[in-house]
Amino acid sequence: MIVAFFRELLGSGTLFGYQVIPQWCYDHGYMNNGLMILPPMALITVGCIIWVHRARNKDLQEN
Amino acid sequence: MEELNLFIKSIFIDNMIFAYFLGMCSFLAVSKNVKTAFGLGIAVTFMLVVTLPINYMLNKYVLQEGALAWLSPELAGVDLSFLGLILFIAVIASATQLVEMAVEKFSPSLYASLGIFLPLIAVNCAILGASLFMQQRDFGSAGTAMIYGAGSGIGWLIAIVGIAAIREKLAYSDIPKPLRGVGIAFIITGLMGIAFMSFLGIKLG
Repeated sequence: MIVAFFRELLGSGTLFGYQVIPQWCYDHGYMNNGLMILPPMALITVGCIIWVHRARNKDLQEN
Repeated sequence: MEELNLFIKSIFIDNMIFAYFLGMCSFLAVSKNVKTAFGLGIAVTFMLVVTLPINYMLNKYVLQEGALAWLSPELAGVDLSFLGLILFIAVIASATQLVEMAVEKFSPSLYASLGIFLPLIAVNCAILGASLFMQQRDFGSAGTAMIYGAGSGIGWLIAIVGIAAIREKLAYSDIPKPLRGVGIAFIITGLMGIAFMSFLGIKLG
């Protein structure tokens, strides 16, 4: 769910199909990041989630 | 010529790891060391080359719709393809036992370094996935199925040896502590997946 949240938000600007990013953002030059929809970005998103989780919980870190 | 196209296509364009993301558990767990990764890649390739023709024969003469016609004409309407999953797993599990015994006899060091991941080849999604893909596509003969298996296996081997080599070199880099180990492996796999997507535009015959 967390991975899908970020990928959908950044990839199409919607959440559960409901458009979240308002139109004025698009007019000012913001564009949907088409890379987030591709499958490999899910792996990179999970890597970032692991990063955040292990930074907050020091005993999960390996050396 | 078509066989060569199929071979090259299944190594790079339909790569089991980077295009379909099958076989990830063993891929991420064994890729710390190039020698072990190479050994596992060879084992997976051997498994694919052995099990795909057997599964092809099973599919053609037992499972497909109308396949049982050689037993008796009244069985011509029987479609057993729903049993494909369980029969393929049975064949793959028995082949894994054989491979495990062979590896234990011929290379005890490889057996020791692979540990639990050698029997885990039995549930490696890449091997079952190749059999299920074979069931959906129509290959001409068992030989073509074997070439597809060899190509998929070599694609898996290239992927795991590639990431093992990168991870070995990463031991000398300065990665932030939270990212070491699994975190950086996920990010590298994602980046390699994006790189392999560049093969999607190639048309082979």
